[in-house]
This record gives sequence, C-alpha cells and structure tokens, in this order.
Amino acid sequence: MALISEHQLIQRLKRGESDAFDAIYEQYRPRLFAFLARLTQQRELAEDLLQETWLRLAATAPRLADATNIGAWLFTVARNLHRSHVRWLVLDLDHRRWQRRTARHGIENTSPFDLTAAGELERQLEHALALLPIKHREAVLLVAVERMEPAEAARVLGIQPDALRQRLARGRTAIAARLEKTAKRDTIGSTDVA
Amino acid sequence: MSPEPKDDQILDALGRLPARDVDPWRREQLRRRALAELKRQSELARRPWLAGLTRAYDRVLEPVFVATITCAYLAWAIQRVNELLQ
Repeated sequence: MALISEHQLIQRLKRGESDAFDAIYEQYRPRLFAFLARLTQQRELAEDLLQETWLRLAATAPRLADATNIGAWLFTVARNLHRSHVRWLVLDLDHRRWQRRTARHGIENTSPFDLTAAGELERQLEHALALLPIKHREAVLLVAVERMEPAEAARVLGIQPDALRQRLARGRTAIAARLEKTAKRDTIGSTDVA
Repeated sequence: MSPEPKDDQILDALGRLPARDVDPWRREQLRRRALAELKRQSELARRPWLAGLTRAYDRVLEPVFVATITCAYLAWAIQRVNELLQ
C-alpha cells in the first residue's frame, strides 16, 4: 500500500467510512490471522484475538493519528493481546495441567498449519516455528514471515533493535537445527529401508 | 550477528510461507462486528457530549452501580448467615 493511499485510508477510517475499513481488513486480515495462529498454536484462540484486534481498531479509529502506520499498529495490538492472554494462562489450572502432561510425555506442539501445509519443507518449517519459545517465534514471524523491517518489528515488540537481532538469530538457529535433525532422521530412515 | 533476511535461505523460506485465512463465515462475522463498533464510535465522535456521557457511564456509573449491588448483596448474605447461626 503506498504511503499516500494509506494516509488517505486512515483519514477516511477516522470519519467512519466502511469501505476504508474494508480495504484495511482485506489487506491485513490474512496476515494477522496467520501471525496469531502461528503465535498461539490454537486456531480458536487466534480467531478470538483477531476479532479483538479489529474491534480495537474500530474503537480507536476516530482518535488515530494521521501518520499511523496501520500495519505496525495492528501487529502491535495483536501481539499485546496475545501477551496479556499468556499472562492470564499462568492462572489457568487446566492449561498448566496440559503443560505438565505434554512435558511428561514429550508431546511436541503441532502447529494448526502442520496438517494443511502443502509441501514437506513447509510442514517442517511450520513445525519448527511451533517449537520456538514465544519471544523468538514472534521475532521470526514479524521479520522473516511478515517481512517487516527490523526497526519496525522491534517497535512492535517494544524492544531494542539489538535485542530483536539476537532473538531472530536464536530463532533462526533453532529452526536450522530442527531442519537438520529432521533431514538426518529421514536419511537414516531411507538407508534402513534400502 | 544475524544474516540479513534476504541473504538467508531459511529466513527466505519462512518468508514464502502462505498467509492463511479464517473461513468465510467467520470473516464476515468479524467484519460486521467491527463495522458496527466503527459506526458507534463515529457517531460518538460526532456528538462529543454523548461520548462524554458514555465514557462517564462506562467508567464511573456502571462500576459504582455494580459495586453497590454487590456490596448490598454481600451485606444481606452475611446478615442472613449471622441470623441463622444465632
């Protein structure tokens, strides 16, 4: 979206024009949903947080600054909503029981996209992403998947650019290690069959 | 420390992951809810006095009302328990 058209869209959104909202909704909804689904690893929760994000935009629209970067604004709200949700999970006994059970039985997280991923590499990447700690995962999602500028992603996450680079590097290393491990396992599997 | 995304095969492959979407029914439901909220906020923005009134109700009147009802009910319940115990 060009800067001028985004500026115009925000002006119209502030006036409550529904077609301006629709244009922003169509552009950012799939990206936000994918971001939230990969972050939460739960489709229903991602849908709830997606709804809350759009309701926040609608509620704040008349007071938005003209120079708002709407993409960064939406991702910041979505990420903060997820963060609040994670804080509340500490008090959720069912969730803590589930965490203990998965830790005991070594069940790994499976991304909601794992089952529908088209190719083998895509499936492996989704799986490796799902296994990352949240703070590394959100950095990788914003910079690598969403192609956000590192400085902008750092602002969305509320951290310094250096910290973002560090999280990105750690996330990337963990994904690479995971892919390598899978490749080795597949090689051993095919040798055994041969 | 970290390679730039454009020079890195893994980050590049991550960048090609598709952005999937919610199903059409849910998509439309979310859109309608958000548009209703947008319309409500736009009307409030056009009438500042109404916005002030709504804000006062949301932030002061409603919490005070709920707290009063809750306290009155608790007082009644404690009084009843005391009566039963005596």
